[in-house]
Amino acid sequence: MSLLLGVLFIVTLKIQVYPLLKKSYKKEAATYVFFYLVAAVLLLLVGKNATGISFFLG
Amino acid sequence: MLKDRKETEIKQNEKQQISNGQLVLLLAAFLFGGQQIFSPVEQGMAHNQWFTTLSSAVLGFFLISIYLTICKLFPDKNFSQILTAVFGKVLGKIFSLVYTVLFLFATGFSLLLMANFWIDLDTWYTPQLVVMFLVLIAAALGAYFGLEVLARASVIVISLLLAIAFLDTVFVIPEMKFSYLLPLQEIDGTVWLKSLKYMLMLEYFNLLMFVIPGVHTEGKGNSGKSIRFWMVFVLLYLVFIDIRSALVLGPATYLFDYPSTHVLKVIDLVGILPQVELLGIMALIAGGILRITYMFYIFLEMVNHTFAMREKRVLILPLALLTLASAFFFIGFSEGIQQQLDFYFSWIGIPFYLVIPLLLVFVGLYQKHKRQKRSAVGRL
Repeated sequence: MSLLLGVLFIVTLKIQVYPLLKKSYKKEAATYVFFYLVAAVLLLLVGKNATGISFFLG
Repeated sequence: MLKDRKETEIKQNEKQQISNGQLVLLLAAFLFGGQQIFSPVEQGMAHNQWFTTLSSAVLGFFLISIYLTICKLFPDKNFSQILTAVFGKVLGKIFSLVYTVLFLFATGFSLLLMANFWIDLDTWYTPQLVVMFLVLIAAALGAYFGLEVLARASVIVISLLLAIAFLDTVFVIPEMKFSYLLPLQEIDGTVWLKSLKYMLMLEYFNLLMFVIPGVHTEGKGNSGKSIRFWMVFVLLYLVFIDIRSALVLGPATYLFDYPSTHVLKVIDLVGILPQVELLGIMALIAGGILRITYMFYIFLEMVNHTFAMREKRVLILPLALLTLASAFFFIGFSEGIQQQLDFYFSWIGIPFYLVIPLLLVFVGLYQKHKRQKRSAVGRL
């Protein structure tokens, strides 16, 4: 799942964060990265409890 | 820098205007969607659950009135701005952050209950994660398109739910036994209070979310009176549905201590009603999805207001992932859920959903009184 979240992060950096930086919305871009990283870490920490997650964890 | 700040303020004050009628429809869809899937039933209440629904509806009406009064007293402000205006910059920001986290957990918990509802219905056993993903995609799209689209979608869901309720009722009339309603004296006071507590916490406290976007309606003034008038009908509908279930199922409505146990009642009812089974479940699921979508939208708005964002839609993806994480967080708690809910009611429910809103009302009334006095002095 960390691989999936990592790939998604790189893709969204290009399609979400880059356009924000281009508009010089630096705070918005930073908030986006902050929330994404917090969400990804929390998902990896607590996600094991859900049924179906083993598919992603292998 | 000044231009940037101005731009942020403009974006912040951009309210999504919806009419009074649309607000009532959204409120109704929120409550209908919640009642069947998310509302808890205390084991001891059994077929007397309708009495809890009735008493909680009365308290719920009181809560709705408080929340609508906040909207009316601070007409040009969103919730975060109201908190800052009342408690000052630092404390207001802290409260704003706390409410953001509370709404995140409320959305995550509802998402988990929705997934469990699906699993209880599903004979092929769809994994929780799959259901949560699908519901979150719907919620993210709903939040992207905004409040007005949600209000329009709620029209479809409500008409479907009302039609199904009518059909259900017609089919179950021969099965009704009025003697099932009577033994009210069996109600244990402690059990009733506990049940009432859960109903308030999972159903009515969440109505605070209607203050967040500053859902100030179109037209002159805020006709809170007409909203309250229609809310009486919505609450009566909820009580009617519970009474109907009790009339048909009677003592068989004994349920377990899991919060989404209404699902069992629904399954029992559809067992009697194969004619409308699929449509009924579809309508319930649509109602539940609409509720989660509204909750997610509010969470997004709250983050937007707290962090003074100029572009809120970009946050949809990370916030959706965060909501998923918060839903997973609750899975670990499903064992001692009652203790968790008791703790939540006393330490979070009462202070943040009742005391602080009441404080906002008093401060708003005081400020209004002061303004009126000043303008009277000015005229003299």
